[in-house]
Amino acid sequence: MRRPTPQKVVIEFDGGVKTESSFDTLPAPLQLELLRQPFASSPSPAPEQEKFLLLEWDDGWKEVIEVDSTCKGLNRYAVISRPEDVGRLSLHREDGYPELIEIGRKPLGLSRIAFLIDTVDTVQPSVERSVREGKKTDHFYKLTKGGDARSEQIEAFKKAAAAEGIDLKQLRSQDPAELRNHYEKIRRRMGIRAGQRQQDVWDFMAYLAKYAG
Amino acid sequence: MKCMEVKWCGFDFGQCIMEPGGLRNPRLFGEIYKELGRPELIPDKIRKYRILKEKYGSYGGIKETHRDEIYSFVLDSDPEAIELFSQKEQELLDLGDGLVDALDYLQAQDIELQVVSEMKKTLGPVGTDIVSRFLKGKGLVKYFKELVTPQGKINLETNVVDPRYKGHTKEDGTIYDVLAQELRERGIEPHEAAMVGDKPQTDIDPAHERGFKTVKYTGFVDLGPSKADVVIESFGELKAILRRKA
Repeated sequence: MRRPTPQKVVIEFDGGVKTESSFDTLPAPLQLELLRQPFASSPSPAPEQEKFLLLEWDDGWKEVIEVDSTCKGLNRYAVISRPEDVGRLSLHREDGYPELIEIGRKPLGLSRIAFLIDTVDTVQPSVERSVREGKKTDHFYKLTKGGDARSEQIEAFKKAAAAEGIDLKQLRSQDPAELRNHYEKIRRRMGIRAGQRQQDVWDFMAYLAKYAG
Repeated sequence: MKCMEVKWCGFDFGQCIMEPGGLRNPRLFGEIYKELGRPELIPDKIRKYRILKEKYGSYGGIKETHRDEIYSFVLDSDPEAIELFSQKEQELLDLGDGLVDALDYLQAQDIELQVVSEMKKTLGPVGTDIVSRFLKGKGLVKYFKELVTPQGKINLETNVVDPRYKGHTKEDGTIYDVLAQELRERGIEPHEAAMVGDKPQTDIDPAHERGFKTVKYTGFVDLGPSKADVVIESFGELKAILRRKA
């Protein structure tokens, strides 16, 4: 079963005026912004089929981002310093135009990136060369394969659930509100946050639950 | 610092006399789509342009060989947006640090000045290309009357093209062979000529190998080791390095 696709956006004004627009015709950043809102979020019906990015920093901070189902793998990582730093992480996509994720939190401190599907691609970014151009500097990273973030997170999930006294078997039969409550406790215990929208991290918990069981 | 006596001085264009630092995406696409009356599209256009950069590696790479994709993927093949893109792209380019001051000095020294450009990213008919438009738009034609390119040497006041340079490039160095020959015919030996540029492979090394004095400019970007006689960070330093040979 695939995640439902948004079809249209309806805005109701006072006085009974109503306008609507096809979701596809909205600019991509607005689509993302709308889908980030809690009212538009719903759990994935098949989290084990979703694709995730797990980002880890040198200070132990971890974030997860659910990415588009057409993403195929990591493309490259670079940081632009102007002097503010912005990280640009891109992933290969089926249509040839990469998925672009902007990293605002300590882009130069990103220590590990994992692309998780039913397998995992775990890499460690390290600065390969830095090129100054006028007032900005581009830091280009090489991505060196290393570790297995998926297995580590599945184990961490099991430990966090046990520490919270949550039975993995019971997770399957709980109602959505109770399940979310448990996932929230586990993700806090694991120290994982959502990078863009909270539903991503709950879907990621559901993904881990499927494989942890 | 080493002082060099010359009668002629050539300047590279991109990332040298022209600095693209002002060409920031929020401003470029902000101005285009505000002028078009569709400011709500700005974030989406910036994002699409950045996606193209991820696809091809650099904005230079996109402009050099995939410019049509800027028009189709980012600008939705909207002719008005395409026209504005070319116009704004031009307007937002800056002059290198200390350039005008240095050009005033060199001209006062009676040193002949020319731009020597590969024109790879400068599509368009001669005279309306990005280099010519930049030089005219920034009022630099009073310093540079001629533009030496693989399309020929272009007189910027008359648009007359000297075909001797056609097909000769900086990268293979042959443009400097033609230049050396032409300068000799006018009584200037290569060692009495200086080439200023940022790229070792096209501006410095091939010119140096043909006897030109060479000045590497690192004010915008430092592209690594070269055979340059002198390295400068600001064009203002040229005043201490170059003077007219008697």
